[in-house]
This record gives sequence, C-alpha cells and structure tokens, in this order.
Amino acid sequence: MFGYTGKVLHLDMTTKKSRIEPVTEEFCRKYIGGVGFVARLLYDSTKPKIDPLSPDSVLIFATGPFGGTLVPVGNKHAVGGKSPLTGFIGDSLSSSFWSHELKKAGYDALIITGRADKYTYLFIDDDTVEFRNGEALRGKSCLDAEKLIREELEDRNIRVASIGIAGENLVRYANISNDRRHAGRTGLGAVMGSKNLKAIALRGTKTVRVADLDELTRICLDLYERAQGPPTEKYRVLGTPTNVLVFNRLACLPTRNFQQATFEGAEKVSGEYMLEHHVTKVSACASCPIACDHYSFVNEGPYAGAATSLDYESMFALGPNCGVDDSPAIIKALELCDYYGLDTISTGGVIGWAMECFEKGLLTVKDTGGIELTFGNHRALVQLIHKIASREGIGDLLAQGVKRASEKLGEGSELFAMHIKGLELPGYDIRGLKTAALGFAVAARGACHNRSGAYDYDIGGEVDRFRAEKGRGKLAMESEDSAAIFDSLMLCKFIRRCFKDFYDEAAELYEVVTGLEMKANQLREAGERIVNLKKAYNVREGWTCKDDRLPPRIMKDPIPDGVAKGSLVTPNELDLMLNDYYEARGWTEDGFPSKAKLIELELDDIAKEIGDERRAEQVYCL
Amino acid sequence: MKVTVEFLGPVRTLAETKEAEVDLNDEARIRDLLVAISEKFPQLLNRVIDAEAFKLKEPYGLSVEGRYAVKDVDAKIGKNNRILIFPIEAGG
Repeated sequence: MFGYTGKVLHLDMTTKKSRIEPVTEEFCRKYIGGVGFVARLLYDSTKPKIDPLSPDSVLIFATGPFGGTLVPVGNKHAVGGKSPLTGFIGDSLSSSFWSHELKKAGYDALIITGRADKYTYLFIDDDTVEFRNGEALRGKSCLDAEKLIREELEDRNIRVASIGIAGENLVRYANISNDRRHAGRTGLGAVMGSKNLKAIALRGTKTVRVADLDELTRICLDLYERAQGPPTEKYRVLGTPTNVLVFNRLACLPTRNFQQATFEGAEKVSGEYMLEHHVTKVSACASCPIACDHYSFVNEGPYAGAATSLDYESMFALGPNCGVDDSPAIIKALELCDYYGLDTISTGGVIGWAMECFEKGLLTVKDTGGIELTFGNHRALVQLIHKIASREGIGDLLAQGVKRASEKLGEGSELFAMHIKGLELPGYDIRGLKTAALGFAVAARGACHNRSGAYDYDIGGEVDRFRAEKGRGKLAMESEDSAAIFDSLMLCKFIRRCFKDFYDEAAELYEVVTGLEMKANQLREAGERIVNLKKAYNVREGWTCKDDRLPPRIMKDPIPDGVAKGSLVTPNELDLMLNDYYEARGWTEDGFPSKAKLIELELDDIAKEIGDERRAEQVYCL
Repeated sequence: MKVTVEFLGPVRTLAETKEAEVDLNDEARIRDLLVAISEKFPQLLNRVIDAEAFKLKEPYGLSVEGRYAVKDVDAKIGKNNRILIFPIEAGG
C-alpha cells in the first residue's frame, strides 16, 4: 500500500503480547485515518458500557495517510477511547514527530488493551515490541520521562508519548504528551494511566511510500507557498492568542466562569502583550510551514523561570475564565499543566467553577485547605493545579471534572457547571454565537471547538450570530463533516483557508499519496460516515437527546456586558436548531441515526445493532 | 465625517497602532474607508487590503461596533461608527 502501512498493532498490557492485523484498502477508503480509524476500531474492539478505566477499555493511537510524507501539516495523530469524562467517544489530536515515527515504524494504528501488573512503558522498534519496566518513571513529568527513556535506550532520536502524574492519578482530564504537544481533551491520559502504561517510545526506520512522488512534490510546494500567505498570518504573527482581544471586542471571551463575556484585563493577557513581554521563540511541528507555537518565558517576579507554549484556549481557561490578568501566573499555570499532564481547558473550567462556588459560599476555606479561592487570585490558581494533579484535598473532587464535581457538591452548583456531555467548554461564549452553540451541543465528544468549526459562520459574518433560525442545522453538519475529514486525513486545520476547494484538493492529495481512487464527493461522504459512526458509538453507550442540551447558564443568563449584551440561547431556540440539525443529518426527530442513513453510508452492520429497536428502548427511558 | 477604525491581531501588528481616525465624506462606503486606510497605512496593502479591488483579503473581516459583520464593500458607513478590522478566522 502507499501512504498507509496496512498494519494495526494490537498490544495487550495484561499478557504482554502483541499481534499485527492487516488493514484493508476498503477500510482505509471508508474511514480515512485518524479519528475515522479511532471511531471504527473503538466500536469494533469494545463491548458496550465498559468502564473506561477498566482493563477492558481500549486506547487507540491512529495516524493518517499523509503522516511521514511531504504533505504540509500532515503529521498528526489521533488518540481515542471511551472518555472517562463523558462516558462517550473520546478522541483528541496531537502532532509532530511521534506521529511521523509511528508511520516509519510501520503502523497505521495501535490498539492497547488490558492492564499491566506493574508500571510499564512500551518500546516499539520497527517490528520489535518490548514491554519494559516503567516503575522508575512513576511520578515523573512527561518531559522527564522522555529524557529518561532516551537515556535508557541510548538513542536521543527516540520519540515518546507519555502521561504525567495526573494520568497516573487517573485525573479524568489528564492528557497524553509528545514532543511538547498534547492530546488534551476527553481524559485519555487517565485511560492510559489505568493500564499502568507510562509511555510509548518509538523508533521507526522504514520509508513511507507514496504513489506519485513527482505530482505530490508539485502539489505540496504550491501548498507550502500558500501556507506562508495571509490565510495563516494570524497563526504566524501572534499565534492563536490573537483571539483574546478579538473575542473580547466581540463579547465572546468567557470570563469568570462565563459570568461575563468581556474581560477588563484582556489587554494584559493578549497575544500582543505576550509577544512584547514573554515570547522568546516561535517554532513549528514536524512538516509544518506555519509555525504557530509561541514559546514564552517569565523573566522576573515570583514566577521567574516559568516557560510554556501559548495558545488561546489555554490562556482563556487559566486567565479570563479564572479572572486572572497576571501573565506570568498564566504562564506558570500552563507550565504546571504541561508538567503534570493536564488538559488546560478542563483544568481552567473546573477551577473557574470552583472559584464561583467559593464566591457564592458553596465552598469555604475549610474545603479548600485554607486557599482563598476568589476570582483573580493567581496564587490560588497555581496552588489548585498542584492539588488536582496529586488529588490532594479539594483536588480530589476537582479531578473528577466539573460535571461530577457539581453533582457531588450540589446546592445549585450544577447550574453554573459549564460543560456539555461532561466536557468543559472551550473559550467561546456561545450565547452570542448561535451557530457555534448548535455545533457545541451536538458534538459527539462534548463541548468542542475542534470537531465543529461552526463559529466560523458567526464570527465571519456569514450569518447573524445573534439569531437562531432554520438553516443552521445544515451549516453545523457541513462544518462537522469537514472537520471529520481534516481530523482523519490528520491535517492541521490552521491550513484550512489555504485550500481553494478543500474537498477537491484533499481528494487529489489522497489519490496522489495512496494511489486509491478518491473523489471530492466520496471524501465528503466519508466525513458524514465518520460523524454518524461516532454518534452510533454514543447511542450504543446510552446517548439520548438530553445529552445535546447546553449548560443552564447559556440558556438562562443573558450576557451582561459588551456588544453581545442581552444575548442567550433560549431552550426554544436550541430546540429549533437541534430539530433542524437532526433533519439535515437525515436522523430521527429525536436525534438518532436512522437505519436508512446508516445503510446509505455503508454502515449496515451498525444499522442492525443500533437501529430502530435501540432507539425505541432509549426513547422509552427518557 | 470622522470614523474610528480599530485594528486587531496581525492588522494591529502591521499598522503598529491600535486604532486610527479617518476623514470620509458623509456618503462614504466601506471601499472608501479601505482606500483611506491604505493611504494612511500602505503596509496593509496586499497583506490585509487587496490593492486593486480595495476589499479585505481572506481571512480578514470588518465589523461595525463588533456586532455586525459587513461583507459588502459598497455598504454605507454610518456616522460615529467604530469599525473593527480583524482576522475572522477563530480557532485555537
């Protein structure tokens, strides 16, 4: 095969055995790679209703067809499993050299099951697999684990994906890190920790073959050039922290746990401010001509020496969402999340919620171990991150994620627990971005700005962002399907505006790399298939339309400030948009994939399993 | 009339200022505004503003007061409007 390696490596942590299974061309064309592979492999390799932190659960790593080739921004991988945060499908992306190395080692995907009796790390050295003693790595950060593994294996070029202390302690939003990049969302680091698996080290020496190298070179040179132009300027100049001031001005910058949509300290935590005061270098992932990674450093003060890569989502979550305008403290908080292996969005979401609980008297200094957990208290922010990772004191409650923590605390704190399906909201106040609100509501992995880019319609002025109306369902669907293809081809979405016609050009790239026939309409259909498959997995796990609801604050409390003042998404507006979306998808009116749609998408086996009978059963349970 | 234009993101970095005031006649359209800005900030030409059509290049957008996006360069500008020019591409 070209592009693909044609192999999936199965690893059983309990028996310490591995085996290879082939991947067929038909499988590749139907599910493309990345999240598409994850969705199908997860569906097929687990029984329904498993505990995501049990040995029965699986953890999947999947590359895309472009990994290890010339294709710009094509070196990403997806990690997937049942999310311990949501109970539904969890998938998260990372990028750079680890993805490249997995392909060169000869695998399209890894499927890991079971639980090792002792802490272990895997060393995949082309065709050789070793289950190595990882006890000495316990308690180490991801960067330290990488360093120690390279020293032990005496090869500084080995690539490592690992969990930090948060993953070891089964924090439900622990991440998996490689090359200073992170598969952050949905808590798959906890799944890895539950398997007593600290790290996966790779050494690959094989060549990834492509079907037509000359044509691929021609297309890629053109794409590299386009990726240096205005469409990516935002990422190159300031990085994603550009969003801070833009969102503040549009009043969609979540502040103090979404109590406000503008932040008076926005200038002090903006991309512009960071560039002037903290950014020391700009770097790129493997094969990326954009280079969005703005590495930042604190020179003086109590957080002197702290360093991290900045991105908008992390900055919103640990900055404005916690009322913090102290840029060195935000860099320190991000550095700690990297050190412990915590998803920054969920960490900031949980801490913002805890701060609001404290200010409302639902948590006291007795609960927090003496911490004055008020908004803006950056020392408290930093202290809590230590507690969450180690599950010490209140950290044990917060390590469960905002959904479980609010259910346990009760007293009305659920009303301002900002999550969808259990996943904490990213940095968009969707009360004034109504297409985005729909996209967030229906996303299979929970509140998500990556599996649906529906905010583009709102912010770009394609629609009136303050209005809910018919037609948004189709827009949300198209955005989701397109995102599914980006995340299966494993292309970074930052290149999305460099394509003149994404489906046409991506299909051409796919053919040139893999030699498999792929037309734009087939690629589009593959995106729809993958979204339906993910939804089918969720249905099998017990999804009902209640899971597509927005947080109460989004539907009850209007935005109090800025140009979006007064805006919210009423329950009626949400219902209107959900009905429109389900109809656009060809699903039933209560949001279940119809048998006919699944069969149309060549998911006949799944149609049999989760078709109308299961729907009837779950609707009855409502 | 005087119109205030706010620059955000790479536009601010290129213009090296947060905002600028431009003088326009009362019948001015968005295109006239972009011409005036180009004269004041020539470094924006072909990076942010198309030098031939005098419209914004992808992925930049324009908003009145941050509330209403304007796509049409022939749209009229109101008195006392504050206009934002920013990258419409969200995500991060």
